[in-house]
Amino acid sequence: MNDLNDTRRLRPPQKPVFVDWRGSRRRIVIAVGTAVGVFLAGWLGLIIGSVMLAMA
Amino acid sequence: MPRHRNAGRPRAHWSIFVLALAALVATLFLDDFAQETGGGTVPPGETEIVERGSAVSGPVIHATGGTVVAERLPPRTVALTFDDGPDPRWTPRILDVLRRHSATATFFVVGSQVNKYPDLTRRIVADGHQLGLHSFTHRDLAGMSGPRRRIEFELTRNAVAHATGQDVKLFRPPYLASPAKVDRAALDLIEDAGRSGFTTVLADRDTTDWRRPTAKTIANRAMPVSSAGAIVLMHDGGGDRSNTVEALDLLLPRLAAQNRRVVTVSAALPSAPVAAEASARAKLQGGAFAVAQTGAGWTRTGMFWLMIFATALAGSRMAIQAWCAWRHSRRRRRQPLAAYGDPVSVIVPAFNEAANIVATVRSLLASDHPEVEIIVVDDGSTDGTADLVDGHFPVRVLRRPNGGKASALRAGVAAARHDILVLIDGDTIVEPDTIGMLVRSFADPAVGAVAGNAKVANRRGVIGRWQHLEYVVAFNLDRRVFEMGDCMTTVPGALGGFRRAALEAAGGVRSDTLAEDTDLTMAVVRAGWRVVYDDMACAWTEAPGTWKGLWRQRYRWCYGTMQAMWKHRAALRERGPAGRFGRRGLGYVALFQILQPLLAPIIDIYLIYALLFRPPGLEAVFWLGIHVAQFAVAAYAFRLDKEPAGPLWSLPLLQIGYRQLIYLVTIQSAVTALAGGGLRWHVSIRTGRAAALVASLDEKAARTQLLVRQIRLGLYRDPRWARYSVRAGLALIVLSGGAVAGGTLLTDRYANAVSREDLLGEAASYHAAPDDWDLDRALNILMIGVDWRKGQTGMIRSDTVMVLHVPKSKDRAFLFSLPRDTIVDIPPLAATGFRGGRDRLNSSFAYGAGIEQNRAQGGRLLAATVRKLTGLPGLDAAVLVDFYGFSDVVKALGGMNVCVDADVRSIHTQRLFRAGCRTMTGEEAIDYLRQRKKVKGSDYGRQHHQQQFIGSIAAEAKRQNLAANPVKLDSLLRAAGQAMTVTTGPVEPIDWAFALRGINPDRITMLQTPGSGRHDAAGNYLGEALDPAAYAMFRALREEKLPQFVTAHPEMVGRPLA
Repeated sequence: MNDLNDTRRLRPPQKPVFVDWRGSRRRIVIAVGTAVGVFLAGWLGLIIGSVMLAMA
Repeated sequence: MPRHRNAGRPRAHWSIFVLALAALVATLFLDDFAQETGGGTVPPGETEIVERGSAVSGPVIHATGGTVVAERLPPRTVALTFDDGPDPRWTPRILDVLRRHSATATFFVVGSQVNKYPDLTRRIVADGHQLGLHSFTHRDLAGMSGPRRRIEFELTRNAVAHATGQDVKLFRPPYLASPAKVDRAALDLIEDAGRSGFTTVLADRDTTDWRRPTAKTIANRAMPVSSAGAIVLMHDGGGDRSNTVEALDLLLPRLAAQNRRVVTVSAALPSAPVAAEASARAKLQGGAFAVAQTGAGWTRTGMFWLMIFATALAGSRMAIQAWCAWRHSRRRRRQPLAAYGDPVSVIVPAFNEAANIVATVRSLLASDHPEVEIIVVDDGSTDGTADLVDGHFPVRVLRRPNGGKASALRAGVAAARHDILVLIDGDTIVEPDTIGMLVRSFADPAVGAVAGNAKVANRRGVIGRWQHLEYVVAFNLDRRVFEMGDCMTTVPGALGGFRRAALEAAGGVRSDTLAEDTDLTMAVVRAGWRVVYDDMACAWTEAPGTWKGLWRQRYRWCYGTMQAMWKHRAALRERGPAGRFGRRGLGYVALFQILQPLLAPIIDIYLIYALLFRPPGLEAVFWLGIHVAQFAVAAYAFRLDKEPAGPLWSLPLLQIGYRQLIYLVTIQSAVTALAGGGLRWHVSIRTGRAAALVASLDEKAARTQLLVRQIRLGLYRDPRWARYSVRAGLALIVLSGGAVAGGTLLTDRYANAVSREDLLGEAASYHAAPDDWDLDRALNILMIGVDWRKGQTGMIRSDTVMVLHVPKSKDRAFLFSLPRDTIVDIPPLAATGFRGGRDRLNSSFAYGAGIEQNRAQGGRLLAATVRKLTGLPGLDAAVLVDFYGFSDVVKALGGMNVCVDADVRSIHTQRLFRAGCRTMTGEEAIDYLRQRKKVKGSDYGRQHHQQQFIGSIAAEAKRQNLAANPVKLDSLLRAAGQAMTVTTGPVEPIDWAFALRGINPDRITMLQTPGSGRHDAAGNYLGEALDPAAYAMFRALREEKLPQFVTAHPEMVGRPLA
């Protein structure tokens, strides 16, 4: 079978790039996202809390 | 069947995104709040003298339980106080001087500065000095609400508690220095401070060192006038304090010589409380806010550099695009492509393309390429796509179950008979020459693929128009860049040509990314084939017509591009064409198509914040610059693409909505990629807008298509009148530009020898009554004298203010001076934010000019003040004279005859001027004119000398008949130009010279403006108050009865001018 015939063959479905079948990367992203979210919420809380406490 | 497993599209990141934006905004506001607003003892926009009666009798004020008790320091005791610090540059130097002289002082610190420099604050305490609070931000607390004041008190108290562990009890409000200025509002503030547990400390001696007078002046002002105790106000922050540091070395020995104790406020006055140990809560709160403030400062700095980086990124991309596009266009011109007649197979993968497929096939059948095989691959459509073409047109139709676009393409490629393959979408409408144009590049055997020029068919409406702009400006320019860099990343699925060998070398069309066209292109390039872009091969495609459709399409594109980039990341390390592609192509896409949009939301927030809440600065310049450059590049892209330029008007609007959608899509794609979630192939809903072009259902779109085609083929040119108009306009611009430049060169030397600025503003009489104004009426000319050296810092005050009144007869004139210390009501000046108030006349110039030394603005405020003082309806002209610069004028005249009344020794050069008339050089004359303290009559005496000086110059110029000596006149005019600024209203200076030609210096009558000194409750000199006689003279001036007034009041006439 030459190269020409090769393109005539319908390829079997391939694993899409990035897709994480086992979900481990997804869990890491969720963990990092949670940490970032907690940090941002804490930061926002620190700013607002500091001002509110000073005003109280 | 869905091609990818859908693991659930991530959504939580949008909460984090919103949280991040909120935190960013809060951080920016915090940083802005924590910016110290500057130093000084006069609130921005207000005057120094407040004559509303003092509510307190001493500088140390205890306000507790509804009673206010003010105290003074004991005799021979001096408490030096420093405001606005700590400052990393000046505070250590002041501490060193104090240590050298074994003196202690009280530092009223600004909270935000304490948080920035806690070590410095600790050093102040460690050196034995006392701390007081001076607010957190150095804003005017008197005008603040109660809660806002409490924030200022508490944040500062906590900041000091965190830095030193002390609970400080002394407080000094910003912009309130003297007990004499304590009015009702200030007393409210002091009582508020008392309720918060603070003793307010003001000052007996304000050195006004923030205005940067000389060290000697600061030391003199700090010296108590009697043996009474004194609190001295100086500054260790808020600006350049070098003179203050220097002044301490002069002051402290003098105080020691007079046997005065220099101690802290609490050491001098036992009733002034000392600091206690701060509570743990105050320390904790102070620490928390210090962290927040530091973080906010870092964020601001980071944002600024990020903005610089993003601007550089955008600028670089535009520069690369413009340069490569120009070279690409030149290549096409120099190396035109010949026709290529090889047979072509066109493959049209179609899934539910019923709306457009017939039109697509018809347009393909109309192709003028010699041999075209058309294969429609129906990918399991449910709308009867295949039935619409199968049997109705001479095309091959392959029907197969749904397997995705890549699968359909593979089937089409496998069925194709020819080696040149053109892949187009089911909604692509080609023009008769499109196939021929697209395949002509294959004449070069190295070319493996050709990207066509896809155009938006439905370009009416906001979404369509913006996509059209993006196709032309971003996509097509990028393709030119990629071709020039041999690193093409995408041959668009809408229109692309492939050589079968290249396709095979690339491994065929793969299904593992959502951007099979990008994946395939990258594989072809990595296999060593050249991929080029042919802008003449145009096809029309239907772009999404809704925001939702656009979002889905771009999500797929962006995610698919990221997949393809990741898949081909090994190219970064490869050698040869693959490595070139990796480093150039992948680098370009990563930087400009992924990183740039990811940074965009942060930049947007920062820019919006900076533009709305900050004074215009570098951010605005960058923002404007980028948009101007973007417009220029876009215009060039339209020209290259031979598109009508009409839609360009909406380019700036792309920043609202469209740009946000693009970067949000990029964020969504990046998170989806990171999280490993799959993405479905979203099928766009076709409306048949592309088909409408062929079927003539949309006449306007069809006309646009025809116009674009005619322009592309050179069949259409703008009407002759339009072309001639543009050429004539350009010629006019060039000619007038040349004329202006030439004229400017010629007139610069003479006409602009004297600088001209608007020194009168609204005080000009020609503004008040423009129709009635001319030179035939009585005229009042404002003359302002300043003694300002080039490079001198600080606020400029006007040393001399004179008004020259010329009656209607123009045969004589009256000149009167207004004492520079005259207490006047200064009107507000909106342009500077100055709110108006009572102060000395010479301060009005300083308030207008500001620390930036804007002399024209200073002149305008002074003119408004003079108008208000004299009651004149307006002033007709103004002259601002820089006496120091006049030495060159004297030099140009070859020296000048000056009569000295009595022996005077210069305090500046120690030069002795003996009584009598003699010729002086420019430097000598200026030195003499600068003397005030040693001359008879002090300021009045100096004013007379300056008046005499101006008169003498006029007399000397007349005596030398300069009109007959152009060389000398030229040097005199140019020298005067350096030292003078004039305002002549609607007429030219020459008209004024002509109007006043009849007035000889001996016909100018000098008038006096009598007045007497005023002092505040503490005995400090406030300024001069004019006598009623002066106001009578102003009335005569207004009524144009000065000759009669002078006759009736000979005592008002001073010494003759010349």
